[in-house]
Amino acid sequence: MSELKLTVTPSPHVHSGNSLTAMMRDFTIALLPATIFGIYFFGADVVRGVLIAVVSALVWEGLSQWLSGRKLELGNLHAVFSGLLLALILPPGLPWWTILVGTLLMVLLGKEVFGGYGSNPFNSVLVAWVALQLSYPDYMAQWILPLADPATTSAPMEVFTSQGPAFVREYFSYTDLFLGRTAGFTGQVSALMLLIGGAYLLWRKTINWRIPVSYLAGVFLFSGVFWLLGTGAYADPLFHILAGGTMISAFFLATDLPSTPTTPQGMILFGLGAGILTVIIRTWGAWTFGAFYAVLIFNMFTPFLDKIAPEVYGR
Amino acid sequence: MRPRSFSGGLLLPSSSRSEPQPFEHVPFPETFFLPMKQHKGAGCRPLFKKDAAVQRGQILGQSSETAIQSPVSGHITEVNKGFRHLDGSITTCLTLAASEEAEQTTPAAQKAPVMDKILGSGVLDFGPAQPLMRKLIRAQERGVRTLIINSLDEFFVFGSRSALLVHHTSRAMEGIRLLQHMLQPETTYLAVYEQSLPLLDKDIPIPDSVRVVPLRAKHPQYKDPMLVSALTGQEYPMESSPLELGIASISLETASTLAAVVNHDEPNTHKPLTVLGPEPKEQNNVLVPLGSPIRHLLQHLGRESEDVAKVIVGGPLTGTALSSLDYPVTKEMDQIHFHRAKDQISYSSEVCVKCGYCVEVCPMRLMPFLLSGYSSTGFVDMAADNDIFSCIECGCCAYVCPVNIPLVQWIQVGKSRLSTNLRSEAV
Repeated sequence: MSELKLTVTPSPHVHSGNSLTAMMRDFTIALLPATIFGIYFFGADVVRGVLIAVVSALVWEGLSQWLSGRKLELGNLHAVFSGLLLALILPPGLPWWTILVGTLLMVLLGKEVFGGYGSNPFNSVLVAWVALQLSYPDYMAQWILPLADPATTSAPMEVFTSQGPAFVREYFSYTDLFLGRTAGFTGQVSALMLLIGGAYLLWRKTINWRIPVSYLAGVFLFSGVFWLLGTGAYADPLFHILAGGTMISAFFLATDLPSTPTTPQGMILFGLGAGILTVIIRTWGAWTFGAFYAVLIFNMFTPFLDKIAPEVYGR
Repeated sequence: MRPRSFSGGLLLPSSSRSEPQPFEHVPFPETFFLPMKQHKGAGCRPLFKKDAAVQRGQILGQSSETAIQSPVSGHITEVNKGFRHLDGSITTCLTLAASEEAEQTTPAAQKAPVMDKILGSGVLDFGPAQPLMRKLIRAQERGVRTLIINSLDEFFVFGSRSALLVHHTSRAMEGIRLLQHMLQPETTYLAVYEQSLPLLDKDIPIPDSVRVVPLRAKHPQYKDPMLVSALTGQEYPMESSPLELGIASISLETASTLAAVVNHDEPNTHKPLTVLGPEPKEQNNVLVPLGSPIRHLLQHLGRESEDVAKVIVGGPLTGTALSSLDYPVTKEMDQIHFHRAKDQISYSSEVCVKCGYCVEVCPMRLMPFLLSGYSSTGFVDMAADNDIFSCIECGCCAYVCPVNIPLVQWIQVGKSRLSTNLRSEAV
């Protein structure tokens, strides 16, 4: 045998094969049921919105990385996933330039200024969403009418914050809320479709169960306590779970990797805290979509929650 | 019995076999290479010069704790004082040519105290490799309440240790009885992977004093901290040792070797090994004469091919890559992996995305991404505050990292910088 050239490297010599690209692909696949439901329910205009968001996110990210002389990281598919996710929490029929502003803010302000994906302290999708919500509140509350016949032209959470829980029960059945036969954001209306996507992510082990489960538990338990106190002033916990973007927050927004805690204890506290804050904002706050604000606000606690390190073996 | 385990870690790949393969004997090579250092620690002093004739079983090198025996009768053809050991240090290596009439008589057994036999045959214990002599003396000084016999192979359910357990049970039990006699423990555990439990030969009774405990097949269950916590529920800091808790953890392979050298007066000249690759799923359990070049092993197994691009001694997650196929089989090895070029992985300099996978799998409950981050940016004091020295370098974190950060290497860098700082402060 001729002299073989052997490679010498440090250990470990094997790898699981897991990659950021594979994770982002899973996240994107998990959003497909909600996307398809959005197209079916709100019509073909959703395709336009999704395409604008995804393509512009890729363009902005490529431009920003090229201009700042960094390595192009479009291959990790984060731009595709975050573009799609942003499109799904915008109202159907939003003007094209608003979407472009949204994706630009998402890419630049959300992650590139911090050094790219991984270093961003806030969920970049929510940064863009909040910026659009504050800048163009009218556009952000103009629901185009769904193809099917909805009970009302307002989103259930809007009805709840403006008119109170009694009207909610009058207008929307649990089945409507669960299946998504209501007005609302493009991909946020159907709890069922998001649950399917979330189950896929959990099955693929792309996301840790701790954040979604503790977030849903936080929403359910906290709203449940006030519901049990009675007086009819508070919505029931099931309504809080099914409406207002709770599902998309639990599985897709609160599970953003860089902006959420890494330790088991931190994840549970993050989920519970964001869940409780969601209900507080909805019940006593001025904002309708507490689920999104709560997650963004809790991103700020991530560095502190990461200080709760697990107890090291033998210490 | 429900298998015991620990939190974190990686599930081992499931084996296509239903039991470990019996050992295949590798014949003697013509030329042996015998490094005088076969564990991390002081090596042996060579006792022979060039051209000296030696007998099989004769002691070629000796230190206060261990010895190297000659695997065959023959003569020494070269004394290489610049041999590089696996850990990077320089040691002496004797080259030995086997004599013609090589099937090799063993010197007559001598009456000698047990400890002398252990010292003279240089029995090592594993995890990390160290002289059994040293471990026994320390254990006897401290007093042992619990003896753990470790039959777990790294990363493979049916490796050489489980082959010793399943196919050579009586020899292993002899060794365990000897250890029980020397250490007088109150409890003796035999740690086995749950898959091996049903295979234990019913004809060879395991003494009542030995409690066989099944463990889930996870990496790094075979390491002492995970073994001690799974079996006794106790934990100990890494600067200490299980002996501080009155626990001695000894490999099943050590017990088998002990029985061979003490009860049967055999020289310690063969090494049970698991050999894997280069084709995936190719796995053999072999008994190799110590000092055989790895090339000889590869040729004997018919695996010699241009595909071999990397040779790893030790497990795939913790092992050391060799630079030459001429490196001999030594006592401290337990597995040899041959990887093809396409099996190789690459690490990256990408940004950590804080997914938390490494925290989830870390069996020591550390935050590997944080330790690696502190080390790579020079904040080694912060790494020390976060218990970097508790890291056992099992490799779980780097295995699961989605952006292929070389976490273990950065942690090693951090540890070595900290050690250098400590040394320079002491001066």
